[in-house]
Amino acid sequence: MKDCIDQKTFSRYLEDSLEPEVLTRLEAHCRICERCAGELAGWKVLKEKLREAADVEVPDGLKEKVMSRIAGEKILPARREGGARRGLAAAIVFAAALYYLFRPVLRPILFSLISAGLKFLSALWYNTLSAVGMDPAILIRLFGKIMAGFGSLLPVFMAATFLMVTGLVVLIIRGRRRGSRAEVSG
Amino acid sequence: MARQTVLYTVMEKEMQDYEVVRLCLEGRTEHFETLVDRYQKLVYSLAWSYLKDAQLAEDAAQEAFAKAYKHLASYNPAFRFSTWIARITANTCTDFLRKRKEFCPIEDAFEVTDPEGTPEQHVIGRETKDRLEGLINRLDPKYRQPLMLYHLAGMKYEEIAEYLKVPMSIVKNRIFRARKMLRQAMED
Repeated sequence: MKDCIDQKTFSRYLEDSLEPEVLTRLEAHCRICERCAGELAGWKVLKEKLREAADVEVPDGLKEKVMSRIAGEKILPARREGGARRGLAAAIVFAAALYYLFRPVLRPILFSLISAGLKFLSALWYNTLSAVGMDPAILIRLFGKIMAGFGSLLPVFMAATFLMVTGLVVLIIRGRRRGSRAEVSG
Repeated sequence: MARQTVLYTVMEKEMQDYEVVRLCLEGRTEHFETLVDRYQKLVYSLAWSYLKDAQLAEDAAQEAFAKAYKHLASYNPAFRFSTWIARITANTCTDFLRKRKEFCPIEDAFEVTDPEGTPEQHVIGRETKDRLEGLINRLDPKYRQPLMLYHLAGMKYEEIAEYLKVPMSIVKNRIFRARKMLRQAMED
């Protein structure tokens, strides 16, 4: 039948948002159209089931309990949006400025720290491989070959490292922001 | 005096949420009761839909309101209070579930307790509800979530759109499609 009711109208019927004249037309049509009457019956069942499912009673005294619970609480000051990001940026700028100003003193310290770190990692690497029964020399030779070709790949490595570090920083900041927002605003 | 009280109550009823929040922030914290009154149904229904346990849902609802109160200064009036409190409730429920170390999906709320009628009707009703629950469980989350928020938590289209951060037309369309899928599945 050309005047048959479309599914969107039935859906709106389910939420009681049909205009009175549309509702009258729907009901009148369903009296003469078996197919639409069947559709309407199906939508009515769904409407009833959804209504039943949503029939949740708020427990008595919830409001009073909430009010007594917050009686001793204080409203915390508002958190500043993007505080973590600004803090991190400020820390990076501060560290860079500090290094630039005191680089004659800081550079040897930094280099010795890096050197000590690398020595420690090398020792750890060597001992670990020895402990699991592998010859560290094989891997060292392999590493040497990789390092020999490293010169030509340096820009690629640098770009990849830069992207990875940037991505990591962005993820950390976004994670922190999302976490703090989720805690505050849900 | 009585007239003043009536006037005051009427004014309070007509106050926008952000105005109530402002009063609370100015130290008139008793007005928070208005917000609890307005959103207790939403908060409790949502908590119940997550936790499927009356006592836990009540605890979660209290916790959510307490959190909202503490962080009231962080509320952004550019958004609806309902979506803000709904998010806090959802997060609180997730914390509760994490603590309980078991996840009970939002759809499990489609289990209605204390049905009336004869034992036969009870069984038939239970089967229909189980079936509905199963059908909803099978929906894609992108359809299931707005359907639940609309029919269970009683949120409006605009609120769901703000909550899900998608345009209202998408919310309407997804709810329509979810209903259509449910309707068809119920017929099969």
